[in-house]
Amino acid sequence: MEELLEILEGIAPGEDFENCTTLIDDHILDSFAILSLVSEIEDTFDVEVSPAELIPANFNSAKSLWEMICRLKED
Amino acid sequence: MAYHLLTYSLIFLPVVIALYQLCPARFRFVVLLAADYTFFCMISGKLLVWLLLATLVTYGTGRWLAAIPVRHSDLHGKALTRKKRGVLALGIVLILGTLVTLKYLRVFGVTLAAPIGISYYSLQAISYMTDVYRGTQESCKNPVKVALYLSFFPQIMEGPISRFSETADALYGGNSIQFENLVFGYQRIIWGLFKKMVIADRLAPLVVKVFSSYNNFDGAAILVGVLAYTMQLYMEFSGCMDIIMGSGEIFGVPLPENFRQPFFAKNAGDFWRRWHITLGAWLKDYVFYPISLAKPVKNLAKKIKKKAGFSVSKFVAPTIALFFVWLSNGIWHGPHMNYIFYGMYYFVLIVIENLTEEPCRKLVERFKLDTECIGFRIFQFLKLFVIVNIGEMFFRADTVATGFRMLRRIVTDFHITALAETNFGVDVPDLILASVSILLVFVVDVIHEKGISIRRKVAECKLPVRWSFWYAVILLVVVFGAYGSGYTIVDMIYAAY
Repeated sequence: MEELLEILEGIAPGEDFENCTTLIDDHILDSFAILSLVSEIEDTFDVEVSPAELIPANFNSAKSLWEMICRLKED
Repeated sequence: MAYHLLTYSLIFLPVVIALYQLCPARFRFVVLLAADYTFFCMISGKLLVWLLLATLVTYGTGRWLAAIPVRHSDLHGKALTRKKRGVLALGIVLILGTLVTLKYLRVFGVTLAAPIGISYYSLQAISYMTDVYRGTQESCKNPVKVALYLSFFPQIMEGPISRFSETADALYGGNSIQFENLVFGYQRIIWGLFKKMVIADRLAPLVVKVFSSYNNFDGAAILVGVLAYTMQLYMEFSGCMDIIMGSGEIFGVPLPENFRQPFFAKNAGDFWRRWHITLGAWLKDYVFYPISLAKPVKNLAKKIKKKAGFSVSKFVAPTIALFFVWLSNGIWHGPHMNYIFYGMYYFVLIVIENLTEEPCRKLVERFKLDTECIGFRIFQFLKLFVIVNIGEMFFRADTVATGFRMLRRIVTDFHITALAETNFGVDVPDLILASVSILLVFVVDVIHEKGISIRRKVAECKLPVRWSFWYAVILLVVVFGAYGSGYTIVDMIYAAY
């Protein structure tokens, strides 16, 4: 989880990623930032993110992102 | 039949509302579907067959995809995934093939009659099939639900491009019409009619005159024509969208918003998140992300990351995908070079914005600029306004070359004094009325941008105030609407795409 928070901090510095649950709804992460995030997640956690995963429910908070990563690792 | 004609809001819609409400709840979907197909036939007649075929393909593909089991991590699982991909590809090819045949073959001299709304319902069909393939949408067992989703009469002509999960249940559910929804829906319809009939249609003759004979006009007059077109398009498209959203609201169908005060955007990218929102969202989900995450694009980005680092490689996938997004956006509007040019214009602008975002942020931090101050906001607004107007000029011009000639004339042959002698084909009182009305819409947009709902605020007022307010708006449309003798009915611009 800490690695994920570091990645998020690198993409959008200064945001409260630990508590924020509206990263997509409040436009904190736009489509450009999402792609940067996906690229970093794939490299760091050795998972493959498909377009089907790119939904607000997976990207609205660090927690939901972490859950997606864990699920993809299991697959 | 069209949304801005009184036959729609005063005859067709009330009749459908009455029949819908009188019908037992479990059969209300039949009334809606009958209304959908009647509305469609009133415009496109026998071409209804194309909509029915699209419905059949969409439903069939969904069911076929659901019939293929999901298995992972073995050879059989991979074969099933390939089969699923093949089924989806077949569905998309059939839908897109029909669209291309009916809409784009005229490039090769073959002109076929395209049904109304084909550009909109085709995208809805593709989104449903793709979502079922991805597993983010359950395959619908009920063909009537799919038929309702693709043909809902308020949105068939101009969108918004909705997703199955947004509207299908409400369309099929047969919920009773609530008094509040009826009132709010009609209020929004009246506001839409105001934008379309008082502003857009009043500006239409001026726009036609300037764009059809720009050679006879001074650069200053051409600029007036370009500004008028941008306003006409905004008032017309967002006004029709108000009528559409209001109609949906009456039936309790939550159609997605297509506009969010676009001229208050910070840049071109932000503008497209506020203008024709559902087309942008569709292109993002079904073109931008799939291309960005395609293996060849990812591999290229990885190679560049090794050589030049993440700061460079992070632009690779989005830029490649953006090219196809804006090419698709241009082509979607029709088989004309100026639409493709329009798409490429925004592609270049948005890539520049992406590349310069970080240096600009550093510059703002270094010089401690206040980006929220009024001066900076006005600068942002003017910059965006220029960008949008140039784009719309090329969008409306007959050819790309005409667009460039108009632009050159505005720059090199600009005499403000010439405006006094220019005959725009529109009376001065008409121009003054249009300008005042645009100002009124601007004020409403400012209020909406602050998150205030005017309809709700008015609803909280006492009865005399409420009725006076809405009577005033109705009177504005009745008295100042551009209809009757001396005016020609102006077709809905986006219904032609």
